[in-house]
Amino acid sequence: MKEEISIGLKLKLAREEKDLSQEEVVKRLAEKNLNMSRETLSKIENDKRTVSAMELNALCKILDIDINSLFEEYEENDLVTLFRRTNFSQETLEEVEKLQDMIKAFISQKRIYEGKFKPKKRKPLWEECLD
Amino acid sequence: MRKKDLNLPEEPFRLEVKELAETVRTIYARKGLSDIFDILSEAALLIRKPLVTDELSGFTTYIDEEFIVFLNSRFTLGHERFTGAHELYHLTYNADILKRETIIPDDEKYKSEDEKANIFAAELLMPEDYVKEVFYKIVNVDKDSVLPRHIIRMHNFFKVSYKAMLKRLIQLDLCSLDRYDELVEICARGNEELLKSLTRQEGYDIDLIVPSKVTYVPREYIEFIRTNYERGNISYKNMKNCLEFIGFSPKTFGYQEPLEEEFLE
Repeated sequence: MKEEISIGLKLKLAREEKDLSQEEVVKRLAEKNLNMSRETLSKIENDKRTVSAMELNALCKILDIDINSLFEEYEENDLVTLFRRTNFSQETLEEVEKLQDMIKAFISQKRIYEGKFKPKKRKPLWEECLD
Repeated sequence: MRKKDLNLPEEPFRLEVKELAETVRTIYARKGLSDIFDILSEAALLIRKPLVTDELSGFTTYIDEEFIVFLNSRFTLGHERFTGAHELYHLTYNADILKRETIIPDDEKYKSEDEKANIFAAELLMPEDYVKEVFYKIVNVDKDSVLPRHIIRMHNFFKVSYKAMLKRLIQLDLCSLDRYDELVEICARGNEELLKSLTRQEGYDIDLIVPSKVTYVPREYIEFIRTNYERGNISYKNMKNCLEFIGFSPKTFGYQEPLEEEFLE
């Protein structure tokens, strides 16, 4: 059960997490010699305009996020989401999150060891941006 | 007090689950495995780790096509072993649910599976015939004369908690239900020191009644990390992070931090 979250929404969530306004982001883009209007950024965040690879790279640097994370799928069967339904405390949920990271790390090590690890097939970046 | 107040199942239901436990015991006995942690390590990726909280005894999950059993070693070893046997039920008989739902959801629909898992755990760790045999061998008193020291002998023999053993003896009619209130008091919160003292008096160590706080993953997973690093398939940072999850540092295995490293992740 996987649910896609658009790149635009992920960028918006990352910006809000950093407590940055759209104006502040476009100002910082300008400092990196990339001109973008606030309206354009708003369109990107609302999936009404595609984002170029160059813009994406600059936005990721400003928002301090890993570009790969934008292409990861949100998993509805995430353990934290599932345990949240059982009304565990925030402290326990944080521990479950750490455990999940640990479990995934160990499974990855097994896959790498067995030579079964294959990076997820992705479309070229420009093609993803056109989707 | 009635047996039902102790959450003990009706006999036909217990006997039905007893058969499931016997099947599982036989399967693993053929491989020479009898300890619950060894069985879980064979059947899944077993992780034991103390959590900061005690809201969660353990769980079984299915992630990236792997079954994982997690046990919170913040609980006493006796409790942890029972949780392990409980999870073995889910692992063995609820694989379909786990594949579909990732964990056994805590809702009405699956409540009976949780009940079965508890009965299964008691049947697996404290087999009926053997409990009776051992009781007559090392206790051998009338069911109205059972004392805390008798429960201590029995629970140390079967490596379960004091309370689980007491309930099992009542279930099998080796201990009178009328004795429950008095006997259970020994393992009540606040009486830990008394139980420890009685345990030592009986000549046992207190491992089962204190948390092990063990951090464990199967040894093969440590080897995966080391080999992946030594083959240059993962970075120093990645290797360090994985080892730190289980309380090791790269230095434990003689690895020095490289001055410069190509970013491999």
